[in-house]
Amino acid sequence: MKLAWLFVVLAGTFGGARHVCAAEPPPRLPEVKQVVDRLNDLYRADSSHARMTMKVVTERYRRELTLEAWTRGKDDALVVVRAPAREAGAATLRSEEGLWTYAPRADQLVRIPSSLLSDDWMGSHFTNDDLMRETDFLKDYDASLAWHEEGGQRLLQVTLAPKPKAPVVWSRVVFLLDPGDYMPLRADYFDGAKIVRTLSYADPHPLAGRRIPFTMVMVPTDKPGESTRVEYQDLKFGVKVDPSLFTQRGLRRVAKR
Amino acid sequence: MTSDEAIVRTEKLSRIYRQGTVEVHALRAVDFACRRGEFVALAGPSGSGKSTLLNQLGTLDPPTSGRVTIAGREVTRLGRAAAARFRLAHIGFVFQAFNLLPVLTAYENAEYTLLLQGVSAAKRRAIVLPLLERVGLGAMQHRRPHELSGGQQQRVAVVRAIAPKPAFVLADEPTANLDSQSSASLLDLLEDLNRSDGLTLVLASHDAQVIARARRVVRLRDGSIVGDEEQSPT
Amino acid sequence: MIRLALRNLARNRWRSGLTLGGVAVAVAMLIWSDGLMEAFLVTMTESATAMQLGDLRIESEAHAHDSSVYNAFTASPALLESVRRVPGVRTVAPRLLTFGLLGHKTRSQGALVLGVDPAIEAQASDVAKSVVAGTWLSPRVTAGERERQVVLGQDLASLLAVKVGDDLVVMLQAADGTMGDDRLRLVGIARTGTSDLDRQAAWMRLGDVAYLAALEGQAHELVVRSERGVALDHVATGIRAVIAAGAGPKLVARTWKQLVPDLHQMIELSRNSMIVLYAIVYFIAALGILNAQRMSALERKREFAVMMSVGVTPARLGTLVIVESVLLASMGAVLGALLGWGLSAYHAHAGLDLAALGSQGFTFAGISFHSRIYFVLRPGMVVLPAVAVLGVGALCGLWPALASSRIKLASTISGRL
Ligand SMILES: Nc1ncnc2c1ncn2[C@@H]1O[C@H](COP(=O)(O)OP(=O)(O)OP(=O)(O)O)[C@@H](O)[C@H]1O
Ligand SMILES: [Mg+2]
Repeated sequence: MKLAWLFVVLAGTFGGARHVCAAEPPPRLPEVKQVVDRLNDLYRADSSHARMTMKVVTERYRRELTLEAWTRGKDDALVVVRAPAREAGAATLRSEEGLWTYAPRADQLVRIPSSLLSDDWMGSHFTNDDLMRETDFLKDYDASLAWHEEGGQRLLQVTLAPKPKAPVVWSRVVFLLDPGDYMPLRADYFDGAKIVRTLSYADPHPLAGRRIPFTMVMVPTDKPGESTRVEYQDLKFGVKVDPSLFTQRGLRRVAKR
Repeated sequence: MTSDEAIVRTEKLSRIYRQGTVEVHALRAVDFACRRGEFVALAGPSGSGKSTLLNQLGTLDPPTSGRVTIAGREVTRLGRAAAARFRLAHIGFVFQAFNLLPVLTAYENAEYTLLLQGVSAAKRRAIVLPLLERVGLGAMQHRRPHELSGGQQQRVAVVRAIAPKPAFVLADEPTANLDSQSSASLLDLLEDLNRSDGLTLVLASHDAQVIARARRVVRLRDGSIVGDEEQSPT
Repeated sequence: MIRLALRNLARNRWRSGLTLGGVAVAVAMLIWSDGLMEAFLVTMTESATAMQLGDLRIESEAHAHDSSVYNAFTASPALLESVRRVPGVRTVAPRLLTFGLLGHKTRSQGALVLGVDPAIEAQASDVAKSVVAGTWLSPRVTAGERERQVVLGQDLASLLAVKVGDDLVVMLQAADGTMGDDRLRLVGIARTGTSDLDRQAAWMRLGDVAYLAALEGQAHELVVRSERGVALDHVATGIRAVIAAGAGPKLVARTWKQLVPDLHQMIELSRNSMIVLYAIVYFIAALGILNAQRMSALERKREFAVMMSVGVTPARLGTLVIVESVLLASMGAVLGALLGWGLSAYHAHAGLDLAALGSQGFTFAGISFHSRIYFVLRPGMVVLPAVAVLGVGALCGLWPALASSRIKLASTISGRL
């Protein structure tokens, strides 16, 4: 999947727009490239800083993590666990050199090998792969647009079908966007003809003249009752982020705090 | 001769060999009888049926028609196994050559028939050793056949044939492979056995020396008996 | 009769010798290749059972279906003790199994982390014995020990480019969803011969894994080793009775044959393919005996005719021919058994160097074999082929025997046929 969702949202630059009512006759569909470019760019920022909570509910446990995250440019991202105390200081780093996890007790960065990319991230319903993906959909997918009626609203539906040899685990990803500003509302991930998980966006906050969904909920279809909910307490774009943060030393500095 | 005295008798015995489409009448309705104690020579030219008749008398070959009766028992319908047991009990054989089992010693060959009869080792020894002495082979009992001369081999065969005291002994050309001296001494032995032991002997030969020794000469030609005469020993 | 048969065989020494030699070589070859095959199979079974599976495994029913870290059960000392007391049980070893991430400098690898009791595991499996560098985990935390100990499979160690004494980081997800991490000290490197383990396994102390994975007092599996020579199914029945009585999640006990039916089947299959080999070799030996006996019967036709004329019954003659054939076969069998036994015994002792197949040993079905393989030799493996060849000998005598007993006497003696 091409979604660096965690980073994605906390990094997003926002194309401001408003909600459009679906009562009117269907207007002409916008151009595919235009929409997908906006989807790509939606989450693009030179830098960002965020605080958030992640609530994971599984059949076996229920946990809440407090996270702090930084991004810089297209590649660099860092998430540090602040609470609970047992896990505080654990961190995940994305850099040009791949995905790393920081073991606080051992005080060491460990690269996440590609064989573990489909494993879950921090016991949540997001995978390492979700963190690792680039954000250019058109590289791995063919996109098509359609109108979609839901709850009396007309939404823009973007269907992403993997290109023949793309390294993608989903058979299809379908986004529903607000037709006005193309803000994503929901994404369904398919395996075959079946939806295996759904990511919902909610609680849009105006930020830098755009709307950013401050809540994301990932729900796996085959595990009823389970979910991972990420909520932003604070999100800032364009803050000054030291590039050395995305190294072991810089990371250690913020993680140990 | 009367029928009850006959140890072996044939009635209208015929043997026809078929070779492809050709039929050879080796025996044509032969009536022959031999009494206990006789020394009969079957004479006649080659191909006259001597061997064929001898084989019939020895139950080695089934007749085409007619019957063979030995010691009052009809043997023409006997199966292979029954015939073998019958031969073991009643008939001694001396063939022209290759009589002996090459892997056995002279003694072992000589006692072979007794062994087959289930006679104990001690008894076999008591019977066979004197006989071997008598035929002049006492010193050679441990030799294998290939270490014996033709005449010696034939004598071992004679011992093997007479050891179980058969009703009669059949010998087909027993001297054919021997020089005249060996022939003579073998004939001496046979004659002696006939005379002093009352051994019944039927032998086939076209050797005048052999025929001269017999008390009775039966002449065959083309499968029929053409002459049957008693003669006094020379 | 036997004396006669022996003398008959001695008559054509060359032919009898060649036939006998052929039978002997066939029997020896069977014994030898059976020894080799068994060596492979035993190596396979042992590397499956001795290194990993044990003879029998107890786990929760859920773990049997889904070997996830969550499907652990409480391995109370009472439970362990009651399993250990089942007749035929030698050792019961608790294990925790979880996947983790191991890192050293810039390298990292996913690993199967096995939490084991060092002392018990050393009895339950050959892992401790398979340590080729460093040492096995020490049963007790030694004074001054600062890092938790780990023993790695040899391939995993080389993927991580670590040597004994190096530090590693382990990260693993605990049963409560948290991430556990710690620094480890590599104390030993094991070469198990099982490629999965050599490539993936990281052995740690049970308590350390329990702490990291938040599974105190728990186990994912109890590995049971049985006493040598007891019927495993019998032990399994006893164990099932014990675990059925316990409280907690439903536990299941499965023997290694049930755990790796593929391996079990492959072993069965290999044994069956030996039977095919047996059949082929016997067939060839049979042809040899048959030919020799037929030839010798043909040559002795006249002799046989004379024998039957003087009173040998056809049955007795036939028996003689069969006895000859059986004697020939049995001498070949004895010789072959001695030869095969000697050769196999030598290779069982000194091993056979399979360097020709690849000098560094080879891997088959996930199990790596050393280039020197030690034969397995059991009395049955020697006796069976030898006895079977006797039967073959008897069978082969049958036809010449029948043919001989049907000879036409008169014409054979007169030399007409
Ligand atoms: N098995 C056989 N098949 C075909 N013909 C046979 C067979 N045995 C004998 N004959 C024929 O039967 C006839 C009688 O043969 P037999 O052997 O009895 O003669 P013989 O008097 O013994 O002659 P010889 O003095 O040459 O031994 C001969 O014409 C012979 O060719
Ligand atoms: Mg003749």
